[in-house]
Amino acid sequence: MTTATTLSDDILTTLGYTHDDRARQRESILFNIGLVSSRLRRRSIDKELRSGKDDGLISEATTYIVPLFQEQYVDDRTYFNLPASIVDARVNGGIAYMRYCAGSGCGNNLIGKQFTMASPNELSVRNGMEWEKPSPLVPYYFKSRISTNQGTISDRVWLVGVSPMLSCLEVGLYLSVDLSDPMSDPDDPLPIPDDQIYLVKRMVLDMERFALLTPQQRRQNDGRDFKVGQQPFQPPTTMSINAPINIDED
Amino acid sequence: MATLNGYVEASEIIGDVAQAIHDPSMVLVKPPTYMRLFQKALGELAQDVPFDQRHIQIQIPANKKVPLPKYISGIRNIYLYNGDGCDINGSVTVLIKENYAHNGSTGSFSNVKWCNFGGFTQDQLGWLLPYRIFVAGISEGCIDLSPASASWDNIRIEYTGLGFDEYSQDEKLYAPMWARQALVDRVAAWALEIRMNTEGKERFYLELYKMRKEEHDSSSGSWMTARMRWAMLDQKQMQDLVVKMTGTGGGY
Repeated sequence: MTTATTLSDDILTTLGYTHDDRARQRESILFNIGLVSSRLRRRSIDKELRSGKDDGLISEATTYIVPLFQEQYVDDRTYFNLPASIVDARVNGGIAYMRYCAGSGCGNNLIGKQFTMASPNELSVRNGMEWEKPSPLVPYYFKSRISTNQGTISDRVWLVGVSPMLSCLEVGLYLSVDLSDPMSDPDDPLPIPDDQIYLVKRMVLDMERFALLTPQQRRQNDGRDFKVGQQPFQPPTTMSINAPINIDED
Repeated sequence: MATLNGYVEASEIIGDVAQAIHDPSMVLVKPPTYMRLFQKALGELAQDVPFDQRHIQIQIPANKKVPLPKYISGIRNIYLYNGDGCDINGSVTVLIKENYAHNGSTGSFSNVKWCNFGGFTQDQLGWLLPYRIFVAGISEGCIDLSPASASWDNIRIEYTGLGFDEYSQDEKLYAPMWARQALVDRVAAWALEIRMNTEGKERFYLELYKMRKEEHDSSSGSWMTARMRWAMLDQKQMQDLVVKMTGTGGGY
């Protein structure tokens, strides 16, 4: 399995950053790997969810049992805190599934019943529709920040339609890749499919090329370090949305 | 009425639709929406094909205004009778008289009054009025029975349902076997409309939508096929008609 360390070492070698006083350090490369991996991950999750063949995608999800709480500032609405950072997939907010689980205090008829994502505005419309209004049988969730006395809390998922007696839920999450997190271990395998490592490497190399060119361009624009007749390097072109890297089958 | 005892659960239809519109996890069109669309299609089917035959039998209130069930969509017959449900002691049918209404008292409004010469046809008939006529009008969700029905205790109303009893999430919905594909196509077309609105009108889904809609609109589509199957359900009814025609020379 490819780890972030393996990949960053490879990129450092490719770019010739093998000496001690190199301009770019491993941390910078890791940060860029995190950026690119998260983007690829969100894109491939969104694409698979909308493809009509997403049963293989669930292997990318991580399951948690999360405890539930009530927030007094918003009419004791039930919520849980996300146990980890998740991708911001458009169709489900990065939550692969959310369901009632045994031992949560719910009725037996509810165990296994799925939750659906819907914004508060959408819910106000659905409230007027008998078959869609929020209830323990038809529960909803949405993600949003809340400003409290303790500051803004951003990792909450709110539940609508559930009983306040409910104590926990089973959720499957698509975790994002955040290599800038000091707790993440760069020696763990990268949490993206192996066939996308090529894309990560290529995109990180593009970003590193850009970082390399920037000081050179500045000096050339100043008129320094610019010999007579020397052609400046062209900056890398912006990546087209139609570039093969963007329209592959991932 | 056709013989019918084969139903499948709503999840059979909805699962089929979700796969047909490339949304097997139900993330693009949400599960409660599928359920609402199915209920809507079932209601339409029950209007087009009277497979959901129901009746109520209740005691006639003192004010002769009988409340109708909430989800009633077509009355086939109204009877007045005495006795209880187990021992029906005679029964008569009730005729609907247009514009007939009352407020619980003995007087009533009607387009045709005995001395008022309102409607010529009915007034002509009035002179030859058959023995024992019981009329009623429908207003404000009630059947207003005429004072002549005072000698009867109970009323039975036979009507076409809408495919469901209660309009609530607690109810389990069922689809008749012979209309499975018709319901799948109908729900799929509506779900594809939603999918195209939220995901963009991609050509592929537009084509799918046209196909599913055609199944409902076309004379050879699944909706009409379901109606045809309904009409073919009772072989006995057809055989009885043949016996009547051949045995009585046209009969009566």
